[in-house]
Amino acid sequence: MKRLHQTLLSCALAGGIAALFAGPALAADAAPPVDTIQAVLTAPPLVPPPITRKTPAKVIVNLEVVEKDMPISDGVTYNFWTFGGSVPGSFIRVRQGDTVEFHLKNHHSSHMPHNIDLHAVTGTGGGAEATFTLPGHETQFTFKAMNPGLYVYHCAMPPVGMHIANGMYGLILVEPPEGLPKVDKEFYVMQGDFYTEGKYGEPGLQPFSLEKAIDEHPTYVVFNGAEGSMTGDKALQAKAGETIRMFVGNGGPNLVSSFHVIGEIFDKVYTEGGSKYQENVQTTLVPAGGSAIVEFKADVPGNFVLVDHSIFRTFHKGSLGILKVGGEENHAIYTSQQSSKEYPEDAPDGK
Amino acid sequence: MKRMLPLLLTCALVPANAGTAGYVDLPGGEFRSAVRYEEEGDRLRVVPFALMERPVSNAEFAAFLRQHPQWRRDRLPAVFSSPGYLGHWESAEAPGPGVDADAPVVRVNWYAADAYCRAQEARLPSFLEWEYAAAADARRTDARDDARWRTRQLDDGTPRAMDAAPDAPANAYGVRGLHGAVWEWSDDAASLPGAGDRRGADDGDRLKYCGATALAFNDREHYGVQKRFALLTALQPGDTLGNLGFRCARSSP
Repeated sequence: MKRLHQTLLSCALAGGIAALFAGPALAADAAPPVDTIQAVLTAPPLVPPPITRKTPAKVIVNLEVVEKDMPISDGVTYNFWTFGGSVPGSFIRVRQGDTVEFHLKNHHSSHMPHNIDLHAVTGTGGGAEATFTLPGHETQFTFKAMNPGLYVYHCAMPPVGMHIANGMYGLILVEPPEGLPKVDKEFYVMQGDFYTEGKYGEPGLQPFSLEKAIDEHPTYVVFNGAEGSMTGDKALQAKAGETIRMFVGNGGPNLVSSFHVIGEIFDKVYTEGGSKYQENVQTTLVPAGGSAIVEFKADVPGNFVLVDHSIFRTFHKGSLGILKVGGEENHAIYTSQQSSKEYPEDAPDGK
Repeated sequence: MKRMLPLLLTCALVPANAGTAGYVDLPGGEFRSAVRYEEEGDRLRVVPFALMERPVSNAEFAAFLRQHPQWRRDRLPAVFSSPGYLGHWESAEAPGPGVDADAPVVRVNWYAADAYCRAQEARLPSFLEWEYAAAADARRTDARDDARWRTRQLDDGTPRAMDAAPDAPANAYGVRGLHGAVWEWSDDAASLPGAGDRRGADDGDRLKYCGATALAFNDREHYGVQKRFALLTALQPGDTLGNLGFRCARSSP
């Protein structure tokens, strides 16, 4: 009994000492944040600047739901429901330990209530209950960004599937306290599947098809809300030698993405948007309602093609983007075609 | 003969199944609601009732305010007041030339809608009565098996709604504008969240979140009704919206 007491006592002491040492650090985290910061929000493919703060802050996020017609493909429009006017919605960037004061507005012209479920939130409904917002109203709630990672947010108002299918999703990045390794370029890319009454390419304003959504037969599978969102003049731009990070999300509502960049190997993939990375990856799965962070160095110039390698989607439903890398060729890594010729039929190679 | 003509003319102008002026009689009967009401089976009994042919218009509401000025926006008792109440009208007593007098009145809270109907010796319809009446298209009293027609209801509450135009045809009962550009108050929707104790509790709020939604509906694919039900259960009686109006109902004697 006596020995047990001693053990208990030493344990308690050890705990106490640990608490003493941990004390100052904990206190610093628990103290009311000194700084109040207005979050910088960006539309895709842009990403807010990296966080350089060394301490947690109170971060105010103002996000407005807007229902609006926008092109989904050449000559085809769709009545999107958006967070911040874009599909995917505004990119939000905070730091682990931050206290986020979230304001959700629902534009006066909206036809119904909306809310937001942020997968970065620890709490009921991810904030959906707290942000139930009628048209013309604004709601507010506060959460602590407990876990670092890249998280999806989406509307959770019934019928949930329809709100997501109409574009109500986006990404929120919770940076670890030490930040992410420095890179030259960061991009925001998010896939979504869309269901229209008209078939692919049928012009005009296309209504949502509930039947196709239930059958999981999308008319469009696109990056950043529209076919051609990252091609031509809107292609992502980089220079040879630059390091690139893509925050990749998938809003769904139904499909899982096999995300691949043709002509590149991902040096690192933070699978599912978490803290651990896999190295040297060709194609990474991005679940519906999930994410991945991919990093690579653009070693050589060229047009690198972002695709969902479930490849018919790329050629028939729109999941294609271009990363245009300029700069000097490096023939030690890649030569363009060195020769092209016929070979004699009677002398096959290797025989 | 000469004397009968005006009489015939009058009759011809009134639809065969019309009740009192502006109201249409609905026969009621057994009805399968898309909404799963607790402790109720699939099939619910709708007793015969009458429903206004059209939603209450700006002009009609202005006439009500002349009789009952306590419901003007500048005289509304504080307990019933709500931001935005008739805020789109030019003045407290009239919509003004910028607002279509014949269009459905919007930005009216549940209290005022209820008072309007009471002044007509009527009441707001229940959600079930509304759903029953709105199940009809121009030809069929229950057209809900027609997927194409049902899909059009996804636009309810928007300017693209199938009954948004004033000349949209009446449904098989003779009721107009049920799937219009404005949502409509129901009697029970307004009373659901009002007490406060239902918030965050069971059925009303359960509908707001992922997953649970499907459980609350008998018909999981009737998104038009789901959207409407989700909206109505979300409203507080004092709320007003730019696309929310009302019409009245009367129980049949």
